[in-house]
Amino acid sequence: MSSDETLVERARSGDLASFEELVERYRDLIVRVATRIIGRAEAEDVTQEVFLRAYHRLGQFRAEAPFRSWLLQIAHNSALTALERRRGEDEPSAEAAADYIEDPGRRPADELEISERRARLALKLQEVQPTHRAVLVLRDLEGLTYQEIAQITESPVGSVKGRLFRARQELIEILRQNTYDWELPQ
Amino acid sequence: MSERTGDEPPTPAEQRLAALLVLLQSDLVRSRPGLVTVIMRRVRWQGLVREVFDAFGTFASSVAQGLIVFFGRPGAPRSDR
Repeated sequence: MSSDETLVERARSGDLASFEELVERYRDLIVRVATRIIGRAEAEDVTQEVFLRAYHRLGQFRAEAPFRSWLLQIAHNSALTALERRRGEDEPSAEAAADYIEDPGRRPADELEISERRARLALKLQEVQPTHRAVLVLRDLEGLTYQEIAQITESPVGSVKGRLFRARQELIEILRQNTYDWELPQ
Repeated sequence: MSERTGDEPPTPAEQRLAALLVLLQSDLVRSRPGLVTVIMRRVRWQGLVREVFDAFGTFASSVAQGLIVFFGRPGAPRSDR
């Protein structure tokens, strides 16, 4: 399997098959991160935008940082820009929560219950301030290091830790108001 | 609210939150089939448009260079005066 850097080099010289392999490799990661930051409805649009931007900016990619971090940086910026555009529009609704429940038909009751709890949690996550939420998604859901997140968000490590702390406190407060989920045993 | 550096042990509330977030970690959101095709179609289309613009730019630049050679640079004194 070719390394990301090799594929980037080939894509830069016009080999679209190499770029397609990069898209194939990272599409799920980008959709997942975009979904957590901006919601499922717009995640695929943001994902398309991320890969198009990446393609046009391949010349700017320096192999000092991994390609994955560079791509996540574009995803982070694109998702926050999309949120800015959306500001003032409708807040996430109950219908949006339903978007998170995948194929509820033919599921055993306990699986459906988990799916609904997951949907509620995803919706609560959307209430956390966007820049804080992005850090929480990258750290607590994707398991990235503080250094990687600092690179992606173009912030000092100290700011990343501060935002993560605030994101967790915000989410804890939001969940506490929803006593049902907060108290529910695992 | 005093901020922490992120290196301290988690509080009980943070531990509870971490346990809840496992629900989202285990939710493997996947892209829909066909997304790669859509992205690559747009990449090819935009690449084509860029090539056309580049070609047009090169052509326009060549025409401008030719006109400068033929008529001289605008504002520059004519050599036949």
